[in-house]
Amino acid sequence: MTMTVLLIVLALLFTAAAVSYFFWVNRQTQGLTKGSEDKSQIPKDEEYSHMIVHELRAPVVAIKDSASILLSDKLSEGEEKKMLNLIHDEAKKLLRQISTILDAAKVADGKLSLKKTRGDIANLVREEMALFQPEAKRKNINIISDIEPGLPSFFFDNVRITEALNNILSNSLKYTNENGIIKVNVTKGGENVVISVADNGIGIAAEKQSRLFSKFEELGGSMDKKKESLSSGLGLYITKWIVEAHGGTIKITSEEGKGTTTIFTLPLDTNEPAQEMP
Amino acid sequence: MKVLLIDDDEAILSVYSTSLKSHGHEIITAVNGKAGLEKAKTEKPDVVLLDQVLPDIQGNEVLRLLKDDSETKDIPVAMLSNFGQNDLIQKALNTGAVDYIRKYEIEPDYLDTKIKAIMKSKQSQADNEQTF
Repeated sequence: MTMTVLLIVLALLFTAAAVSYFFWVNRQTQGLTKGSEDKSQIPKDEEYSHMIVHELRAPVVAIKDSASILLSDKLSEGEEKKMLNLIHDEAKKLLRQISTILDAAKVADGKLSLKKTRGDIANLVREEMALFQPEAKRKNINIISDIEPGLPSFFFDNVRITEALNNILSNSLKYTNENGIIKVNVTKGGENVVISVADNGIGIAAEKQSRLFSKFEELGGSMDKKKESLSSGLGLYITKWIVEAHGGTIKITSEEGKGTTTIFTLPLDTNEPAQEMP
Repeated sequence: MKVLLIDDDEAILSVYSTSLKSHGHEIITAVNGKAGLEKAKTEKPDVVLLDQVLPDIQGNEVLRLLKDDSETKDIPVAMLSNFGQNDLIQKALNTGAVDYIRKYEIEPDYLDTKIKAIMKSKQSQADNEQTF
């Protein structure tokens, strides 16, 4: 077991280091290139790199330290299992973060595309909510849903819509306090399906709301004055792209101290997409 | 020692709590700045380990509020962060942190060593003040 854990940890550390290095070099190079035209871009590029490294370090540190405690042989069987579960969950988090970074780069380069298949949106929402229930239970947060029965199947990119909903639910869960509530509604509105996620969490300051869909490098201010995880700092940027690429719209309304509601629409596209040319 | 650990990263809370408990410390946790400030007053911890980046109030602001409050100003606070820039470290130390711990540079056992060093330093300071 110990050898398996070590191999997992080493592989993850290597992956995180490689991605961090890639983006660091990439951004530094871009900053230097842009710097000859516009010096103001350099700090933003540096800040982007710092934020990426900071976010990648969090799960890697948790994995490294869990493995370190496991190797000390000081834990009870129950505690060992807890640490192994933590390594598993943090490894998954790290993989999601790497995907988010790569997707953000593809969006910026215009290289992200959709692969639509006919799907059941109600089922997708239920499955995604089920994934968040264990974490919600740990935080004593109630996730409830109201899904209109009989919603028709339609063409959408299952993977990308799952990613968008994941980003929105992650944010709600992260910024909702203990004993809070998250309500997910799915209804048909004209020729669209309307999905809303409403929480009674800490909300978002008015001055930040207009910039929510920007990458965190563009939010301004210094790093110690804001809290954006990859799910909020890059996730909403990608989420907006996903929804709009489907022909939908997305809107966030929020009041500080009272909560946040994210509503997005997806057209009920029943036309089979044209096959892409090889 | 009674340690208040303020961090919004549940994984880190779990890892650091497990490690510190194995060294005999009593651990209280808070996942945001507001809860951390409340627990600092009600629980009267011997030391606070405070994450730099929190979802509601930033770590530096929590630190400033702890140091401005007569009930909590004497509790040593060590900052924790995955940021390692010198300007952030200097700002935290200037605001009254006794240390700035880069999470990615330490092993979990280091926290126990650090807490013992902080408490020893506090005791020496108290002894010196009594002498004068």
